[in-house]
Amino acid sequence: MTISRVLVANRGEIARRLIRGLSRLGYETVAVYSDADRNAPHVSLADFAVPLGGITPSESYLRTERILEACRETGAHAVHPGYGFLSENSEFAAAVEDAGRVFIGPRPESIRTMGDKTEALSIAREAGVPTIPSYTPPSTSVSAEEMEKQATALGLPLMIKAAAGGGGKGMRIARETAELSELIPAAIREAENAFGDGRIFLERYLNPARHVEVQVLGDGEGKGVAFGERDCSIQRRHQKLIEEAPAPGLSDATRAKLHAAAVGLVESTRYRGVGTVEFIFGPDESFFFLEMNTRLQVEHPVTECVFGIDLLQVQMEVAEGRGIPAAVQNLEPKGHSIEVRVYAEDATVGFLPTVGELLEVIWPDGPGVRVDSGVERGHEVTVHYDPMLAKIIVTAPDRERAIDSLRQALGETFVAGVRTTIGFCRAVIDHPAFREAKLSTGFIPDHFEDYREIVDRGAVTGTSGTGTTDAETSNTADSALAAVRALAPRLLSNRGSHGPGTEASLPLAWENLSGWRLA
Amino acid sequence: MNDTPKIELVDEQWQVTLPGQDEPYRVVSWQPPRLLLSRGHEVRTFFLAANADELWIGGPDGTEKVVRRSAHDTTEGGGVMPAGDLSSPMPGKVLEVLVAEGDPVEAGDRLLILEAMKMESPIRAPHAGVVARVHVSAGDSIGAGDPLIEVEATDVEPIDSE
Repeated sequence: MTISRVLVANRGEIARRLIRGLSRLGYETVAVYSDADRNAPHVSLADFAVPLGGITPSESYLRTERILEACRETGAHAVHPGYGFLSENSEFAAAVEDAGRVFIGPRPESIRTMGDKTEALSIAREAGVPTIPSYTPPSTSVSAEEMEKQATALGLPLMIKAAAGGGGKGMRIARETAELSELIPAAIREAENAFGDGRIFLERYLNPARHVEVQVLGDGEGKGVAFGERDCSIQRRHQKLIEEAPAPGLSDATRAKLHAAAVGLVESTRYRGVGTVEFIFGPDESFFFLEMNTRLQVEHPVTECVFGIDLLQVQMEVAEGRGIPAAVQNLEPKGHSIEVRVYAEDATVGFLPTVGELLEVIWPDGPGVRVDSGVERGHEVTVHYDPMLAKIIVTAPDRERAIDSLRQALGETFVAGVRTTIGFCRAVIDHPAFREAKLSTGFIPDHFEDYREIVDRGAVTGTSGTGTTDAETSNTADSALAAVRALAPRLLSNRGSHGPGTEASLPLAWENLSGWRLA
Repeated sequence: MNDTPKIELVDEQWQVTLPGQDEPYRVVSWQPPRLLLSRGHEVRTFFLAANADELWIGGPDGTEKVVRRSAHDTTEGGGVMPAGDLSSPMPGKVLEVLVAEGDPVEAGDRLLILEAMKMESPIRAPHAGVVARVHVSAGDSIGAGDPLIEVEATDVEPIDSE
């Protein structure tokens, strides 16, 4: 079927990327927006825009009925859900289809089954995808000896987890067989006390672990392709911060096995559309299925950059029933791409979300630099939405040069008005362990336990201080900054004579620096 | 004083010579938000953005925020007098104390001079009043948050009303 008008049921950077991308592919676009997003870039890029009313997501972007109404009012043939919001809501997908529109994504059933952790695991196993070795006792009256036997078969170290647990509660790590006789009963007691349910299960503990995921595409008829993999190990409390493609340090054999496992899952489930199969890597390049995300992911740009493809375009080809384009069927990645997520969070105070008006926004540009941003100068950052403002993606012929380019690009970036994670990300990529690709999900806790301390040691510029090892350079950088601080009041003053080109558009006289402090 | 930055307007462009240095930093171009500084022929770009309360400086090594510290609480109807407790914005040294306890001051009067971050900062009275307490003397080393001076208000005209 032919789709000519697409409604994007999202906001922020992804809505902007999708609306702009769809326009460039020749589609007409419909934006939807909450009251808070009236001035958002994604709205002005669209051909049609429908206000949703309300501010919070539940008052706006999560309102299925309102979105379907917007489709009717604008004659949109298809809905692209983006990521987050309703993108993995199988009822929404079904409602879109029942309304006679195309849902740009998988079938509602796939969304539902992959969204259920237990079902997803069993589907993966059936497809021959390795899953984390685990043992669930068939009843609570399993003997201690039996538990220990199973534990030993699983292999140590292992995690003892409460079946009813979550959020890190009810988990213990056993490293030696001798500990089991004590830890297992303790875990059962704890689970009983905390959750009223003493059931536990054992799972192989992978440490250090890497998060590596495979970008897949299925035509819905049993054919699938993989577009390489991404490493997303640099995370903080399960929130990804820096991602890259390809995943460094994997042998060709492992890579092939990994892709085959992911494609096998797509083909055996006749999966339709783009998706990501997430794996957890343990030592010795062992890998296990974690989950499958049935949508386009935040970090899709790094894959697009190394493969030279537009994932939105292939999504539309499949959605319009034309199958997987021949041109993308046998691609090899070229070069290396790294993405940094810019969050409105203060890394020096536990990543507290920051709010306020963006006084200025300057993004880097040039060859090899891509910025997917949902904000502009004047944007009001609030607590209502996810704090991710933008993504900065840098691509280069190899990883070393990608890191250097990224560092340069971050130095050309200026976001004023709210604190962001840019400085923190700079500190991460400056760290020798990052350059050496010693990636693991423990990277941030291991190396940045106390970022505040690192910032203080590294002077006031919010870097780790490891960026410049040369004392001379360091002095020059610091003294130039001191010069700027000294001059700032004069430059911002709107009285007195200044040099040419100094019609300050800044509102305030800062001529006396009394009572100022670095914040 | 040769341990404070020397700021001059030369040929219609601002320049600053930092203490201990001979060569000044000159403003080559200032088109907000972009500031181009040169020293010799070496140039560096910085970004500046500000509103009533904050100044943001972006450089190649990161972005910092400088806040205008409000030395008093806003009065709300009920006639509560604003507090005039001034504490040090950062670690540094007291260069000079310009007032004594009992002196009357007007809003904006310089009370003392601090030296911090290679710069001289005058601390000014946030409102008219009388100097109630002076906690420091010239030559004292101080830490961030250390109390400096207390000014008891005699009327409510704060220096940075909007």
